[in-house]
Amino acid sequence: MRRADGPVARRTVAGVPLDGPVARWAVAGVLAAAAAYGLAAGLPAYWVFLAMSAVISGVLLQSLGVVAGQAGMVSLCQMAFAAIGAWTTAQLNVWGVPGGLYVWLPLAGLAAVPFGLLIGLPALRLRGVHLAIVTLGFAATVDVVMAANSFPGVSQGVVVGRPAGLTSDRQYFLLCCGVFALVAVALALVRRTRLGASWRALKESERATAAAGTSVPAAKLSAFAVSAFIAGVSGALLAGQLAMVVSRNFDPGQSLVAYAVAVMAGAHHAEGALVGGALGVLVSELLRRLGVPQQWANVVFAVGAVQAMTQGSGMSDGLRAALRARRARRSDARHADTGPGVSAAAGPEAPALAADGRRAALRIERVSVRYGQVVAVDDVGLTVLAGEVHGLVGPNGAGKSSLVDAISGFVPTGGGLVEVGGVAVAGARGGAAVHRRARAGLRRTFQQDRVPVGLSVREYLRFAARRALSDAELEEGLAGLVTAAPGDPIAALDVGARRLLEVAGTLLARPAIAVLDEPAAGLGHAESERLGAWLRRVPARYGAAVLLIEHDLDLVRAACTGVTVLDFGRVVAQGPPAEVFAEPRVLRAYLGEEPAA
Amino acid sequence: MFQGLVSGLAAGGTFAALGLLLTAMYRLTATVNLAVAATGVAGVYVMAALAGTGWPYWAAALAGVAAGALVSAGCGLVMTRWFAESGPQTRTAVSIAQLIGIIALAYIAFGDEPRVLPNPAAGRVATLAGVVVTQGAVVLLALAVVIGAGTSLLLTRTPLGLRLRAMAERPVTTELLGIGTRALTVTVWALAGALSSLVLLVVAPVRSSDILSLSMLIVPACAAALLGGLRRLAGALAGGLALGLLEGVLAGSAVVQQYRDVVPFAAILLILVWSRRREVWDASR
Repeated sequence: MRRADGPVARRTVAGVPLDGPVARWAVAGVLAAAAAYGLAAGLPAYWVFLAMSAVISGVLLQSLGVVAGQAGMVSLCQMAFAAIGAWTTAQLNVWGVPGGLYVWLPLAGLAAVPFGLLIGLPALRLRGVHLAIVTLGFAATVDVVMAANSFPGVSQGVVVGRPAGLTSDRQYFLLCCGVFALVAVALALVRRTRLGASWRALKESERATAAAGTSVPAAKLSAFAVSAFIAGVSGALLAGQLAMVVSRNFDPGQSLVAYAVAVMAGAHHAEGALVGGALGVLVSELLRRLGVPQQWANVVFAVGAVQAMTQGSGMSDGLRAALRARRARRSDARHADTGPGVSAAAGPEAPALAADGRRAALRIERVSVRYGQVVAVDDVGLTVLAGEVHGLVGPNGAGKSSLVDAISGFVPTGGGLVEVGGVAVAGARGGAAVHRRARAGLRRTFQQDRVPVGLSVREYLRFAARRALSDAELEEGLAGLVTAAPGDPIAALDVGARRLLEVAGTLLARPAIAVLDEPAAGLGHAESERLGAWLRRVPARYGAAVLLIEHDLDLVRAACTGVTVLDFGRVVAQGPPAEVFAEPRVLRAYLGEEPAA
Repeated sequence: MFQGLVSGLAAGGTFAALGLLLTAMYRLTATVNLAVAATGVAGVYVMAALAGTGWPYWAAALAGVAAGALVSAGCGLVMTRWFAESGPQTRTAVSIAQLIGIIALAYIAFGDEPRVLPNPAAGRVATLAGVVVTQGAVVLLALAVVIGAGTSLLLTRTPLGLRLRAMAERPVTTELLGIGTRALTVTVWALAGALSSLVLLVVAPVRSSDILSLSMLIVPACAAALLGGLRRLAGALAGGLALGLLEGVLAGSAVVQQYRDVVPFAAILLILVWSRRREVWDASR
């Protein structure tokens, strides 16, 4: 967020050829503006009104695209946010606040934000089914309150006035298009920032989002706040379009339909939102002309949403995938001679190791993890020196993953101490939150595949590294580890590649200590050997120490200078791999009673 | 106060019965079926349409119950056919789509004019504190108890219930064990539709005849089910009754009367946030 548009924007202008994304966006923008102007000038008045409705509902769908499409949280109360926006507009109109709709629109959006935050707060603990029920309840509640108190000005017959320059429907249609475009561009810009990436990361896994140093509550609340703002603006636009709104315009049934349409059209992309809005209007207009009851439109959307859910993606995703495939074919033909190859740019200079060279990157003492009566980790101490790759091994159920969870902050350390680069992140009086530990230089990966599929490789690596990365740095970070181009969507990678990508992102963050939880699981023998050699070079390349949790003892021998063996939650051996793996206790823990090999 | 409590009995029975249906369906089919009230509404309207053409009430009601069962079975078929292995969030989203579809089809088939629905249980049973206790209230309470007790027996005492629970919790493992329960699951859906129709046949004549507002009975029903954590039947029964009685008490005061529908939302929010206050993360590890 903070620094994102500085370096990122400069590089996209400087580093991208003329037929690149910037030019494409400019062309698309000019075409869209021309189309909007053409529609406003050329359509019959009745159709201008319909087109206006389509664009306004497109704005509403964009708000759903943020909270449901990108962040993956069910929201069945978008119409309630819109109603709050419309109510605010009507009230500002009655008060005669100067500035007209130009000022009322953003104010209406802002009025909806506190309610968005209010719904976002329970969303910190509630997900899926429960969040659906809460948001549906909120929609019903707002409906009840709005129905009990009529909209401001309705009983006196005061209509929402349009300022000069917007009085005709054609002009107002252009305003709606402008607002839609503004929202779309703003969301596209946010999409490139870490905030935008955090929303999509949230959809995949909250744990991984926090482990990448991003605050999950902040990501959730910001998604709801932004969504409520956009929905509030759409309500204000509707108030301006209809001049007089009543609670029936915003009944909770419409929130449900909006959700279904958003799923069907894929409203997390602007074109999906626009298509969804247009479909809503076109289908109902078609039904009207055919003399078919209007409610059939909702049946169509219900069926469409179910169909989209069987596919797992909406219309805009399908469209983008098709376009990407076509572009990939074209660019393959053009760049056939370039070849992949590792970037020739000089690798990032590894920060010099601390003067003494033997500083502790990670020090833990007396860490215990209990689940009820079960002691999973019992009074464990461990030190990983700067510049070291340290292995943590042990049979299944030895407490390795519990220890990693305790170190990274997902479970309490039982009063134990965790120090990262000499700074305590957990102690007797509890510990810092997961994302704060990550920012303090303690990064971890997960055994499960938790890389957000909604991001591209480049977006993910920037999100994980928490800084702007040049393409040379990206190539460098991927080289020798993952065969993927920065532009590839993560959804196109297989699970093994995703997990190695997670390792790459973790190390690009230049942590003091990277805790890698079974990165080789699912890799073949040759790949595993390559990973071992790669991991050995990590301290020199990234200045990061590594704590490697692994079952593959060959990999541990190849990569590690020190090993800690856990069994039944206790440390049973510690030292250089060659010595430790020769100890009878270790052999027993691994092979049962016979220390044969 | 006491008058309010008595007048809230019918609502309490309704919320409890629907909440129990939600709970039972969640345990037996792993779906929070947000369309369960709407399937009952379909049954009510089929009854009204047939009664309007001169059918005797009992025959029309029977046909209505059958229609509710059929609609619900259709929803269940979609769910088992395409979403058997989807997560709860997707299945909820599907049931939202089904809710929209049923409401829309009901409006198409039956129009949106309010209509007078024949009341099968209008007679009075007793007068408590000057308030008439109708047969409807008693029937609804009895239905709630029957649904709760029946589900409880099915779940804990019968091999069928065991199979259904296994199917709901681990569909793939259950199928690998050679237990094909898709037809059974659809039967559970049908049964839920029939029971929901019965409940709505009794409650619709005294509450509302609007399709949307009847379908939105799902909100207090969810609140009731959540009091039992979507798992405990007794909790759902008690929760539904408590909500209904609370609504009755609030209806007695003119100031808050128009806001009484806010009560379920507040209840849902408080219950959920309290019961899930420790659910900091999305996955257990």
